[in-house]
Amino acid sequence: MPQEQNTDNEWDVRTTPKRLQGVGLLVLGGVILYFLAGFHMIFRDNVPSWTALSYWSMFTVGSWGNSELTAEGVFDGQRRPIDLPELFPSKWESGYRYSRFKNHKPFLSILGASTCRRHPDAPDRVIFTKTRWAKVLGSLDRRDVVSEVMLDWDCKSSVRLPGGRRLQGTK
Amino acid sequence: MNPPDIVETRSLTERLYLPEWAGGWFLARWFWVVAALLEHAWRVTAIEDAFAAPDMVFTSGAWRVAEYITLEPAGGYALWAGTMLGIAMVAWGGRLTKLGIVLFLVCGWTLGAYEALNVKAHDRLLFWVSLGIFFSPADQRDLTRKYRSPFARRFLLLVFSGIYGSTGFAKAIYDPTWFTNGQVLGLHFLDFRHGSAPIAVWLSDKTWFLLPGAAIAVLWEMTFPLGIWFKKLNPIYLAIGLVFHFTLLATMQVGPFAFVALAAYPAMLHPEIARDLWNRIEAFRRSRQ
Repeated sequence: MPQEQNTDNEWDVRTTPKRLQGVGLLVLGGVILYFLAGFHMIFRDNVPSWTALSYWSMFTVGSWGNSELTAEGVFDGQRRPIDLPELFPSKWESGYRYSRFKNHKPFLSILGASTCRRHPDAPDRVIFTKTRWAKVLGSLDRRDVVSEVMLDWDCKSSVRLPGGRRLQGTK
Repeated sequence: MNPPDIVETRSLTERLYLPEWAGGWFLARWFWVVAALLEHAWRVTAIEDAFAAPDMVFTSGAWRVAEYITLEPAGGYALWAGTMLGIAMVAWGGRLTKLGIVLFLVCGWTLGAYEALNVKAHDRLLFWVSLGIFFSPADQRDLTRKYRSPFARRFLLLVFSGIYGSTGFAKAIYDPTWFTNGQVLGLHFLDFRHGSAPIAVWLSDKTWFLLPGAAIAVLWEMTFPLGIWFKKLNPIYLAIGLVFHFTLLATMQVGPFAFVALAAYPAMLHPEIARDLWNRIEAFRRSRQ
């Protein structure tokens, strides 16, 4: 065990108690194994949720595509754009919360019902369109632009929320 | 002040636990406070729209809190306040530090896991750094006069080795263009949300920047798990890390990731180098008085 020795100016010297040193080594070993498990899961299907804190893949591969989600509402038969950022303003560095999963129909259904509820003019339907395009290096130009309707949501419909609750499109 | 004479021992376990200069943890605690504030303070503006919204409720992957509880805005604000209180306790220091870390983790993660869609890499990194601070002597006063267990520092070194190593090897394996033309970096610079800043757009087709930048970044990540443990290489790896993170901060939108990583760097710096640096700073201050 390290010995404390006083010099002219006293140092305070201590380390992990002996009874905990083995536990500490096990914890460190566990950290190594945990991150190895997370690495093993990168880009595999069905990644187990317990690796959520050790699965680390950041900007790993390049993507030539960009996309964004827009919405239109049908108000008494008239179609007009809906300003989604105004209804759902929360934004992270990855973009607005509402655009987090543009391809996921269950998530878009919740977004649809929420849009119906939050819009002050109470639309009859909400239509979500995903626009995707190819990047052009050195510029913000958009190449090969393609738009696709992802969901046409009837505001009279309801959708299941986590926990078994239901969200009605109209209040 | 001369370092203490620590009698060498024979047992491997005892040698692994030889105490180290603890001064770096003082700076790590304060950098953690800054990172935690950057990470969590803004959330109060998004409680009713996102974190405790009555309509936009989701579960995603591991984050399934919303299956078991329903969070009203009042509860969201309470959890946010608890997070802020935890940060304040860590800032206060002393005996409140570890309790503050626990309060911060419980409240902050309940709120973040309930939101479910935006548990970012820097949230997860801050979790690990918070654990490092919890295990460390950061709750003690007068750390520049203390030698303490190396456990918490080694914990953070392993965590960062896992993170940088994973992401570096994954890049090398899944996209070799990191080493051939750096184009993948240019594509990230043009990401619709994370990228597209003027400087990033300009750099996105500059091979003279992309190729060395991409290759050095990936090589640094891949070799970090080995190099960081050697005293002579340790400060070099951390210095490259600072350049790496703050270059990303200047060119892309990556949230407070750089500040979260920085919170661990004072503790990961080799303690003998950190102590010598502190002694130089103290000598300079004394010479000015």
